[in-house]
Amino acid sequence: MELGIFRRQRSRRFIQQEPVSESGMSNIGTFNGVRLCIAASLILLLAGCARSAPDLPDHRVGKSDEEVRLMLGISKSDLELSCTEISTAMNDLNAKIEENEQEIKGDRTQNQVAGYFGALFLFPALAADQNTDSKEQLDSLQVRKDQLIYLQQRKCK
Amino acid sequence: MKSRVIMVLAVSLLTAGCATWSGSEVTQDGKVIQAVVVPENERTAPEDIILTEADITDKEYTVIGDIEVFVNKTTIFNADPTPEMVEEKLRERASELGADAVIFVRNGSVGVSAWSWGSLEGRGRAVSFSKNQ
Repeated sequence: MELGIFRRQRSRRFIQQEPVSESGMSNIGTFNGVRLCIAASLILLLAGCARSAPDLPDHRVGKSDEEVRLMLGISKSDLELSCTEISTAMNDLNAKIEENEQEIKGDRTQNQVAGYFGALFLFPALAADQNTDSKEQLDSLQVRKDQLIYLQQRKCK
Repeated sequence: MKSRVIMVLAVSLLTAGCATWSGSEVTQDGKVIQAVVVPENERTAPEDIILTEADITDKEYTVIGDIEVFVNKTTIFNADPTPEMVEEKLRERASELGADAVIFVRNGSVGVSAWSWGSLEGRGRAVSFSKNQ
């Protein structure tokens, strides 16, 4: 059944009116809605999710040094590190953290673009990188950082 | 279609003045708690709150709770939240709780969240120093 809604089509010399059927309008609306959903989903999924802050260490109030070292997983070889070695390890660690952060940041823009184009053509979306490795690396670096901070505080101040 | 575009642009311009919005929660032993807010005259000023990645070993303290804050950018056009913004939010929240310091401070990485195109989370443990020192 024709709704009386017309799509205006321009010709060279005069405007022609072409009727659009109800089912045709419904299909167009559904198609646009589906594309919008796909676009929103892809952008959200592929733009790079925020990494949560690492978990806090366990409570240390009332705990002995040995208990704290066990909780942190500090090895005997770590206890033998000199202040200079601890400081060097800390600097290297901070550099690795910065490197991973920059990689995540650098990929965010690329991922967002992939998400936008992915809404139109699926294949660019597959190229997006969630930086899972970098994020996992950052979490494990935080564990090591907690150890070094403890050692630095105990031995070097 | 044009009116929709104009509306989106207008909303974006209006909200762009509020570049970020933030929130927080306090947990104890992994459970979210309704932390008590201390009266203003009993609080340590936010700028005097000590923030440190390490533990505090030269003073005795009581743990108030673990603070988790997030700073979100309002629209996709705003600048990403920074660690400094997260630290400011940690200080404010710690002050409200009557804390003197926030220890074990750490941040996540900026990225998309359910509520924002750019979100940054920070955590720390709010502690208050023992008065008999």
